[in-house]
Amino acid sequence: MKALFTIINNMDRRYIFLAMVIAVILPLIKPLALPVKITPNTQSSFDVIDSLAPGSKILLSFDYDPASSPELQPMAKAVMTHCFRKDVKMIAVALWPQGPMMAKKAFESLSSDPEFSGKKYGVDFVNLGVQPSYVAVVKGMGDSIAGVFPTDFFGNKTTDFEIMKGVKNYRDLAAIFSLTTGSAGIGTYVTIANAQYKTIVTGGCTAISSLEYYPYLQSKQLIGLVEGLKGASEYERLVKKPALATAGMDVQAVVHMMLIFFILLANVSQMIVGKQK
Amino acid sequence: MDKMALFNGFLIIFFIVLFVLLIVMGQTLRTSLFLRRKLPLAFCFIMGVTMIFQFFIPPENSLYKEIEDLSTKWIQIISSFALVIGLISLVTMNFNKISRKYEDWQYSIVLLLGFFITIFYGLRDGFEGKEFDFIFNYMYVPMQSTMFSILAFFVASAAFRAFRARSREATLLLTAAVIVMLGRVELGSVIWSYIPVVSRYFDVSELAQWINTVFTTAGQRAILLGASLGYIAASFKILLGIERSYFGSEE
Repeated sequence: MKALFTIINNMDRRYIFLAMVIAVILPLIKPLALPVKITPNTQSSFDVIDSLAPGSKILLSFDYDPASSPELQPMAKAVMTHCFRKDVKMIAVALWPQGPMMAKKAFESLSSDPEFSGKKYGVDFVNLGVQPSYVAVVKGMGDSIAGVFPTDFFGNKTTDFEIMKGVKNYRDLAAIFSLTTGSAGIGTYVTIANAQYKTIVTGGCTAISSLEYYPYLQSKQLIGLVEGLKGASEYERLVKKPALATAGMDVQAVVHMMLIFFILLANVSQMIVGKQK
Repeated sequence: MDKMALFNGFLIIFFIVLFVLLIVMGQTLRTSLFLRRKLPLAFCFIMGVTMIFQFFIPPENSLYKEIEDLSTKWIQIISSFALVIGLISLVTMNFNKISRKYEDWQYSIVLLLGFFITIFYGLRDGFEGKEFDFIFNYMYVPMQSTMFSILAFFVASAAFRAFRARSREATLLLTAAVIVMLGRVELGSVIWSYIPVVSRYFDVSELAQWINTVFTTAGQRAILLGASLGYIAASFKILLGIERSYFGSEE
């Protein structure tokens, strides 16, 4: 017995890597189709968008890069699906340099969907790109969005777009939805757009950074939070369009169980080997 | 003429004159105490106080608009120049590495090739170009995603080696982590339902949520407040010229 647990205790990490590979691949080949339970934070975020009148305009901030796209890109698509169905117009900006490309990918992917074939760039969605220094950008938009983003991501004049008619600054927006992965994003919008301009701020973030925003949730400065892949899968369920996040949750479930198994195994083996020593 | 445009114009001319003077008069001005210490300190103090000041003026006030407009534009201009300096530094550093054949100099060739090819297609076709799209979608995105996904394997290995119940505190941490991991996925709830007695009284996802909203949020709030106070103190030290490390090593 001691010999077996000594072997486990000193197990080569490549066996752990192999187990992880299997844990990732198996659910993709044979989905578990687990039920999705909606958490209150995701529901609140969904309700913010759901309560908007058709024709309302929101600021959709793409504050992430491809590294976080497995979690945040499905979330972005689910939120955009919701907005398109509710006829809520989206003004996309980015505080991360790679954000506009993520916005472009999300819009291209959704506009190829027959359900949204009538949705037009410049009318239902616009991609204003990115500007340096995120604090100055978020502050500047409080005065003039077109002032900070004079052209869109492709070089067209911002004020020429139909979606921008009647939109000067935060006061003309119904809400801000930030998809965040790092320091630039939800925190910046809460401390500037909400604190100074009283604009409703909601958003989604990677699971690892979600706890950072809990104090803002409790103070009601942030209304709702879509947390990681689980939150994205919940949002997909709320908009009744299961996609990548729902599929990814099966993988995440098995990987979590695998991690717990390894942690328990390591502790049991240490207890046994330690006792016998 | 617009008041703000005039002010911006004066400021730009001032910086150009200063820059030309530094080049023309060279060493004399570079060793000047006023230019080396007092002027940057004065700039730092005035700009810092202005930035703080605007947070205490209601956005409806016309003065707010003027300060806000000025600071936003100048921060963006300076940030853009910082970006250019960063790019120049990246290129020269990697060129040096290649020419002097430092360790792993081959990687610098890959970096510079990637850099110049992306810039070339970006400038030629803009963000809508096929080649630029190809580089982003089929090279940049998979590479970044791969780097990030490798973390899962290291986390698993690290959890196996380091997550041990060696003390009371470590056991608490371990228990909380296992509950949160179980509560974050539906499979966890299914497994939890097989645990006798406990599962009848507690739902694991609610338990995980409770740990997050009560204990973790309390810790997060403390970190947030502590970090913010530290940030304010450090900012005041810089504004008042007590902290001068940004002047460089000679200070």
